[in-house]
Amino acid sequence: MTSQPATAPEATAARAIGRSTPLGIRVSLVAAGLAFGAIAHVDATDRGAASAEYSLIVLAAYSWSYLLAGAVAWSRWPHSRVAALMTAVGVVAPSGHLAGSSLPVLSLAPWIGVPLMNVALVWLILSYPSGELRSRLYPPLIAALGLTVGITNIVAQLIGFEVVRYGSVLMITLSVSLLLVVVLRWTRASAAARAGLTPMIVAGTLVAMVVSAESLSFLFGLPAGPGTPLRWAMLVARAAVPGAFLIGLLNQRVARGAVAELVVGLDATTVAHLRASLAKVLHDPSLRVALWSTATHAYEDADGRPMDVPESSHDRGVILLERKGERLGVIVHDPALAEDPGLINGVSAAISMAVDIERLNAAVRAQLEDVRASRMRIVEAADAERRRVERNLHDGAQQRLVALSLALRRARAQVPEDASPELGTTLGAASEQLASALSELRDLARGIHPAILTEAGLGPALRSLARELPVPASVALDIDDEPPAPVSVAAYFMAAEALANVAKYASATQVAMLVVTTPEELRVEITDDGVGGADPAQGSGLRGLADRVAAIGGVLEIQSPVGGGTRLLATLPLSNGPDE
Amino acid sequence: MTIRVVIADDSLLVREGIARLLEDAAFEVVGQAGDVDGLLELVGSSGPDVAIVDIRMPPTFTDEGLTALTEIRARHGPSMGVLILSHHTDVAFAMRLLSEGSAGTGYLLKDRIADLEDFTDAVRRVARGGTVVDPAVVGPLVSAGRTRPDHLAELTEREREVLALMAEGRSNQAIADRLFVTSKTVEAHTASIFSKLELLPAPDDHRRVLAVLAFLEA
Repeated sequence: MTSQPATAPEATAARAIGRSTPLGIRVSLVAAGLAFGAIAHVDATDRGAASAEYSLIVLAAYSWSYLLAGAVAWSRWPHSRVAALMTAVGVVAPSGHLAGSSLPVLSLAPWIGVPLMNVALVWLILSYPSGELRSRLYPPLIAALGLTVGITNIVAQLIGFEVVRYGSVLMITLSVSLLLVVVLRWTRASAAARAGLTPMIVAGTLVAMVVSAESLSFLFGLPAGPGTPLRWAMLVARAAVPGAFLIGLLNQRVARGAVAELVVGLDATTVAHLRASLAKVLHDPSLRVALWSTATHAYEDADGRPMDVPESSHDRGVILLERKGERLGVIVHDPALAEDPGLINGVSAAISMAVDIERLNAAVRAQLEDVRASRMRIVEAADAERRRVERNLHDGAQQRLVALSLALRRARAQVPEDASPELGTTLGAASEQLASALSELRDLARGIHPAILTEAGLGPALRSLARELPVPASVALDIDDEPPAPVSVAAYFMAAEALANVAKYASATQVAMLVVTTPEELRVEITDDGVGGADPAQGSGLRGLADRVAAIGGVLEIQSPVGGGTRLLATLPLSNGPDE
Repeated sequence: MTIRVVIADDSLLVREGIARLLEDAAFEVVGQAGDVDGLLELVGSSGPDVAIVDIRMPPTFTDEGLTALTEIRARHGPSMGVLILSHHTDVAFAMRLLSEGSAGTGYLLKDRIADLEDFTDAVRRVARGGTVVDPAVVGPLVSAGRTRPDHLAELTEREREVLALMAEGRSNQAIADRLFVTSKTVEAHTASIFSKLELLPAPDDHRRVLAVLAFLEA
């Protein structure tokens, strides 16, 4: 199936929307219908053809109900052809009143008006809800009805009612045909379309019944004159037709409310979710959605497979989703949905927006991921560099100083006790200074990278930190497996900084360190009973700590009310993956 | 009898320095190695009384000395003394080391080797099958004494000194010599300490070290 995605769906949309009828024309038409009704009423009552009450009841059932429904529908959907057809029925309907008028011009009106009214009515039924005749069968049926009514009328006027019997038989046949066509249209319609066709079934049945009843009353001479039950039933049935259509149109309005629901609940994170949301709101299980992939330059469905976009046709509707000239995706839907262009336009606007937002979200997420990864790399590189520096200190300076201290020690031993006491003292002092230098160097190296972390693990490293604290510290460790190096290093430095702060500022009498691992994360919690008031914004220590924790995807919480002690809680994920 | 020693350290300067120092002090240095493989070969071929081993050696410069210790214990049993040298000391690491078999095992801060008496004393003790733990490991545990204040606080100043010396791996006689008291007095002190700390008396000196360290480290 080849596709012409760029033009076909837009053409469909344009045709379905049609032109809206200007307000002036709408008002004029309704006014004309009312005026025509008034003339017909005056003419009929003056002639004594009908009582004033009966004339008004007939006008209300045949004309005003249609004009009202047409006006209401038009006011909400100015492009609606159904509204136009209803108005048309209402405008020509009063012509039935004018049969036998004394004025020659008016007496001709029923000959044209009554067939026209029937044509408009059947057209309305068969084309509802789009206003388009979708089958080649419909125009001949409409024409046959119009001609039959017209000819029967003329014959009745010229020759007399006896001949009308033959016309009546034809009318019954045509009514049954109309009923059949309506039922056929219903059964052939898709699930999505059927809901919208209920008014058609109701109206078609009513009209077929009214016409059949009228014809049968002619054939069998049943009492069908004014005031008879059959006449009342026919009047009510006639008036009910525009009501059914109006209710149907208003129900469409309710369906469009679903667009709002769609916007609220729309999940465009995956194509599958999008399809599910749409199919539910639009009541179209056959609906398919594909999103445009900028990578493969193709529409991809929920399974990531490229989807051929069919041309819009009588059995498939296609909507292209675009935003700011960029392709977003395509919806292939039941064509019945196109009969409500407002709904489909609302839906495509909502989807386009959601897809666009989801794309932006994805782009932002990807960028964030890049930044996170690069921050992680920076921390890892810094840690590696610190390890390198520490090792260089150890293998270089420390070893040389140890060797030097050995040499000094030997020199001291080689100086005879009585030869030069001063030299012995000097060498002894040098040895002591060297010992201090070594000790300082050891502390420096440990501050750069704690070798104990690699040699003995996180637990011993943390215990050793706590031991050096001049404040009593309780340590509770529950570490299942040695965490990955970036996590241990972060946990160690976090504890070191926290404990250093406790020693320097907190004036605490007690510190508690709690370290727990779960399969997913390592939690380090350090609590003291000191003065509190620690503020990450003030000191670079806490700030740097938060950065280091965040770099490996962790979270640092600091609670430090003034006078209420300080509690630091770092939660560090054990897996490197960013997917949470 | 001369104590025969091998030295393993990746730094030639340090190796040579230690060798000269020990030779001056009448030890016999039978060989030097720069890595674990060299050390194991040397130990196998020359059968020394003591191997002095730097904890950090190639290739990873982390805990190769511990690997060497495990391997020496596996090949030669507990009879050979092994003195591990480290640039920094930690009780957890000391215990990891001693848990390989504390008899004839020592853990000394590298700086300590410049202190001739302490160093040669440590080598001799390890050669005799004793246990050596650097005072730098024990000191903070005993002096701070914060982890178990309820128990440690009950010790007298003298008992605390005895406890530290026990933790360093010294025998009752050595402690007595250090403190200029009789061995009987030390025995009385140790009994009192074990009772106050609620520890079971250990059957020998090296197991006593582990018991005391375990108590202090907890």
